[in-house]
Amino acid sequence: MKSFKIYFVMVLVLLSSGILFASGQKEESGEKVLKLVGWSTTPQEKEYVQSRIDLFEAENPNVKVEWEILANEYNETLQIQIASGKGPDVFYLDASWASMFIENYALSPIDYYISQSTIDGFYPSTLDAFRDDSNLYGLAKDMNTLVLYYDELAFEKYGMSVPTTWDELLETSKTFAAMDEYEAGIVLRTDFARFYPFILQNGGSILDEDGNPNWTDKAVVDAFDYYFNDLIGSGAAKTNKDFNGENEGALTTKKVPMMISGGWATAYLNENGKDIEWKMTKLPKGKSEKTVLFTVAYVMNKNANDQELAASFIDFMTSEKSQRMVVDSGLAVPTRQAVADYYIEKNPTLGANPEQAKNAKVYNLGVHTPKIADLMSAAGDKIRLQGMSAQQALEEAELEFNEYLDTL
Amino acid sequence: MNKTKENKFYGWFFLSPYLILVVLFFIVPLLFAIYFSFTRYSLIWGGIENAKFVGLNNFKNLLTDKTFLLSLKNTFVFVILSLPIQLIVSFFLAYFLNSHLLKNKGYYKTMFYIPTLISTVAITLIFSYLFQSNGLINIVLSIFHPIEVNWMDSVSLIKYPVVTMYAWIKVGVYMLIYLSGLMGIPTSYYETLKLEGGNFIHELRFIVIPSLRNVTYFITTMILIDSFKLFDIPFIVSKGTGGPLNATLTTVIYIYKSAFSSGRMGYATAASLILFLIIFVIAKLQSTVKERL
Repeated sequence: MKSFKIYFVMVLVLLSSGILFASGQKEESGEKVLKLVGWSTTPQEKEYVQSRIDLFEAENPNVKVEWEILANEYNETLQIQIASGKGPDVFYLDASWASMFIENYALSPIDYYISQSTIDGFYPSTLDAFRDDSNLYGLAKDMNTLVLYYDELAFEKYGMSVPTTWDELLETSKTFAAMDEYEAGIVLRTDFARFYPFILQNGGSILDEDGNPNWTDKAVVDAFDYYFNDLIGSGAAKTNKDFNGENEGALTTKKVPMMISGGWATAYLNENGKDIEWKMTKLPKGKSEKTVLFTVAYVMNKNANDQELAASFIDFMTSEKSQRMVVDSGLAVPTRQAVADYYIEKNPTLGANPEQAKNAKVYNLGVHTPKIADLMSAAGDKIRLQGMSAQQALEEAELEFNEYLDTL
Repeated sequence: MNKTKENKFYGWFFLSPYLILVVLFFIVPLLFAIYFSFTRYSLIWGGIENAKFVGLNNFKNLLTDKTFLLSLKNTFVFVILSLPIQLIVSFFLAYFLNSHLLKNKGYYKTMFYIPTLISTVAITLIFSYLFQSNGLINIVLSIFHPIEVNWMDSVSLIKYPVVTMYAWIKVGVYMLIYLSGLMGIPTSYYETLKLEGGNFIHELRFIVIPSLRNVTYFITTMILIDSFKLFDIPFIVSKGTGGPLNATLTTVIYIYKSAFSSGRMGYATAASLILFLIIFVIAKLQSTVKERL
């Protein structure tokens, strides 16, 4: 029994010393480790980011960048990593989530380490989501705006013009919808992010200056009416749910000649749109030409070990040189204004995407973005599925939002 | 150390890996959950020292939260629909497999069990095609009456594809449990019934159902607990929204969204404790009823 106890204690001591030795190894070697967490949509993107990391490591020989790709449940996994007390030094953050992270003090400001001239080089709208009243917390790595895609062959065949206004969009959609060849004139998604541009174009806003909901404002109600009653309700448009969730697929399979999506759709269209002649143009305008901009930034964790190093990495990954490489890889639209011309030069048919950035509002409605998006989408569903008036649907949504705020 | 003490020591020693795991991964998280349910806390605040005590506020707010109450209602509907379907279908599949007349039993067993092994995402995709407006289900139903509804985008109908998918995935497991129960019934019972001139109904009523009482209790408990925790199918079907119009919003999806989308971990934990209590009470009631029968 005694020898057994000694053996047991020895095993424990060995295990503990092993753990301690393993955790202390990197500090002893003097190498700085910078942990990056992000996602990767394509093998090409992964290759591109890795090549930039390799360059950064070559320029900083004592730095090792550990890049972890989170394939699923990105925000959830990231939150858990941060809750564990550490988390990555630098990570990707979608603009729609930025306020939640900033207002909960999960990020460190980067403007202490980045020059003003560097910051001024970005499209201002791409950085809006990553600011609070006094600081900037991230630099956008790429961006996309919502644009109108159409099949040029269809428009040429029937001698139609590409719509540039709401009225033209409705008329053109109705004309195509009436043809046997098409199931509808345009496919529309019913989640808030996709119809938000119509609210903006109509002069509406989701929150007033004090952050209160502004949803029964006439401009908002009319935008809902146009989208859900005039376009979808009339049959001029069908939703992606009518095509088993397919948005881009409805265009490439010639079920509709038009669709609204972001710049990211080009990869799918290049792959699957061989039977159509797809083109991109600006969204048809309402009272103004606004659209919604989606962007992702490199941000710095408040727990980052070496904040100066983390900031210099962010600066490097979003530098003009890096963004030129983004353009060359054809993966995304650059966020630096100086590279926009280069993008249009390389992609002359995709110019609508960066051109709209000047009139775009970033997709971020503050800390309650996910809740607002849920309620606005539900208001749209009430109009679409239950025949409720836009006014009533939005009144109910506003009431529910206020009740939600009361529970916080 | 005498023999009894030494035996006790070895007993505890060999139990210790299991006990350590239970304490680390069940008892400690449960205690944390109880603590968090009385706090305001977001994961991105960092460690638990940042949680702010709010007393019973989370529970009070939940009991008046219309969306939470709707999620509970939806969950009960899913349970009520799933329980009889899964119980009856798995029983009859097992009964069919246990038949002496059936050949190639292994083939059928594999066929019925395979859905359990397929990815939920793949199953959801297949069923979405089946239940869309021009899908196979509508084509078959149109033989009796023209129908064009998109089941997956209908507030009143979407629960049925979800319940069907759920049953399709789950019955394979319960079928095997029933089958093992059926195989344990002595053949002499059936022979006696045959001599007495009993028929199929008599066989079910006097032999099979009474003999499978404990198995049925076990399966019912499993279905109840599992259905109350329903998450993946409605989550994938609704792309994480619980829609359309919260028609597929189960309590677990609500908890998930509160914790991760709204950053309200304390509130979500309180909701999960309420769900735990509901499951506990129902399981207890079920056990009481079983003992009295």
